[in-house]
Amino acid sequence: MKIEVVLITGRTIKQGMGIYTGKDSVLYRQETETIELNAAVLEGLGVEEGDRVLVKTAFGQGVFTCRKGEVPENVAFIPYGLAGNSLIGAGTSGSGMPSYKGITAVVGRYEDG
Amino acid sequence: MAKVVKNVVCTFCGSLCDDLEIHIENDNITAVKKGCALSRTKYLNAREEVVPLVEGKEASFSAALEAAVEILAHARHLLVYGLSSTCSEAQAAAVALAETLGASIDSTSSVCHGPGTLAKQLVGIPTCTLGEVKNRADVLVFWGCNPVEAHPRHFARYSVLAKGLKVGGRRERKVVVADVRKTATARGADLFLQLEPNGDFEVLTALRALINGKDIVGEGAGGLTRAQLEECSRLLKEASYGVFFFGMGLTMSRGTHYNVSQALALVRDLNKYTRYSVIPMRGHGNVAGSENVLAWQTGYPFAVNFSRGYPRYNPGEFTAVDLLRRGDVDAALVVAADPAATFPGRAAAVLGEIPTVVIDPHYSATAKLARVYLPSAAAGIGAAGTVYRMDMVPLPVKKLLNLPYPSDKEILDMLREGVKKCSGSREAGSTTRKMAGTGK
Repeated sequence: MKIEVVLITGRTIKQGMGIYTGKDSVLYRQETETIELNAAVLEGLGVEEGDRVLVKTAFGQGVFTCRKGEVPENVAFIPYGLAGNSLIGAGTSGSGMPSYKGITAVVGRYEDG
Repeated sequence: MAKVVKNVVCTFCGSLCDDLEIHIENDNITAVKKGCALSRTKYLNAREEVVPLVEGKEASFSAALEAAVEILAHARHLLVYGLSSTCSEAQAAAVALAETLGASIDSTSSVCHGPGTLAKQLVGIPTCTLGEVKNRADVLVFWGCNPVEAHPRHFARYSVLAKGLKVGGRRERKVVVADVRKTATARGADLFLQLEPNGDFEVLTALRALINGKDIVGEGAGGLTRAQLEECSRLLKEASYGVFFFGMGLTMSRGTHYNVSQALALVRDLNKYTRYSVIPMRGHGNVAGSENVLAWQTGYPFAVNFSRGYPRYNPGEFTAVDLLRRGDVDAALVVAADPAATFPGRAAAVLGEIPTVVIDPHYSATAKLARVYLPSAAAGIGAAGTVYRMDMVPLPVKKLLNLPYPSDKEILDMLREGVKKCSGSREAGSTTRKMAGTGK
């Protein structure tokens, strides 16, 4: 099963700390390779916290570890970082700013590809 | 020998908390008092064992500097980028270098609050200091930002929890939070507006209508009910002194600078009834300084190009992500920033395809892609200088440690001297350098 969501990337305190422990550090990688989803979405996908999911957008794809979050059912949140940026397009609509928030993504179980 | 340095300015985020106590032993930071989790991590990891690199191989500093000069001097269109985690003296040196080389220069502002700056140019901004917020503000709006995680001491030092002269602590302030997610910041709000993704412009427009005594069509907007919008507009108008803080929820969502323009227009409308100010929640320690320095030296805050010998400004053309995506630049100089970890994958990858020079105290993700890596002494740790808080108040930062490498400013000055010898000066008659007081 796959679920379409609106992807938001943003800061978290662990991501901020991870900037200075190093982008190869366990803290940074664990935090930025995590996706927060609503509990109902996790259930719908048949996954639990700690399971891996495949996230695809029009610009790329990546594997993320699930975390239950206080987000609406149609929203997924990924902390800023190298992993999340692979899903973001480089177009800026003439503003200089890429769409780090509010793009469409499809989330599915990693095993299902 | 052990010592304690008091009243240290933390340069992690735009709050620039200036009351840290840093404990130093044998030129190493051993403890950080009064700081948040972010500042403790920053200062306790301040000393990184790094070496200059050329093509990934260890080199002497002078050899790496020479290799960097070679790249910069032979670039047809250089991008100078970053500048948000260094001091304003280094930012000024970067502008001088960019002008010497006819380069484009852009800061991390273009991928954080740049759209807010565009909106300021369109609408204008009434603003105030964080001291005024602490002492006077009784209604605080946090729109698309999560200071509990991104600016952890903002509430205690300047806003929600601060005890001011006219306004006491939390009980005397109303807090409105607008966000797509119920963040840690939202959980403490008096009124939480849970927006639909990309619904900001619609909600701000509806609020403007209600505040101006107009009706709205339909039963709500942007994920909010009419009742929520009416309650919010009432609360906003009841303020004696309101402050609107905004973050990247506005600048990065669809509409970017139009979202912020509408927020600034809302504040303009509110000023018909009561006093309101706006402060962008700037992320990096001195990203506000990068806009100030570029504006006073070139006339423009970011996305500046010197290829015609005078500064031109065009976000969308001279912004870093656009220059890289389109393949418009053939070399890059990255100073005190890590675009390989913050840019969209496609734009970041270009930094590994073109010759890139990195100046950074840390061996960053961008340094790993770079042709030349020049370690530097971090501003506020290994070098003194000036940084600007999110409310544009300049603060001096101290040198705390003796680090083995020069400061960002010193390296940028050395590079400029090097390229001038290499390629001859293109800066004769430079207007901007005369304005900056550095022209000869």
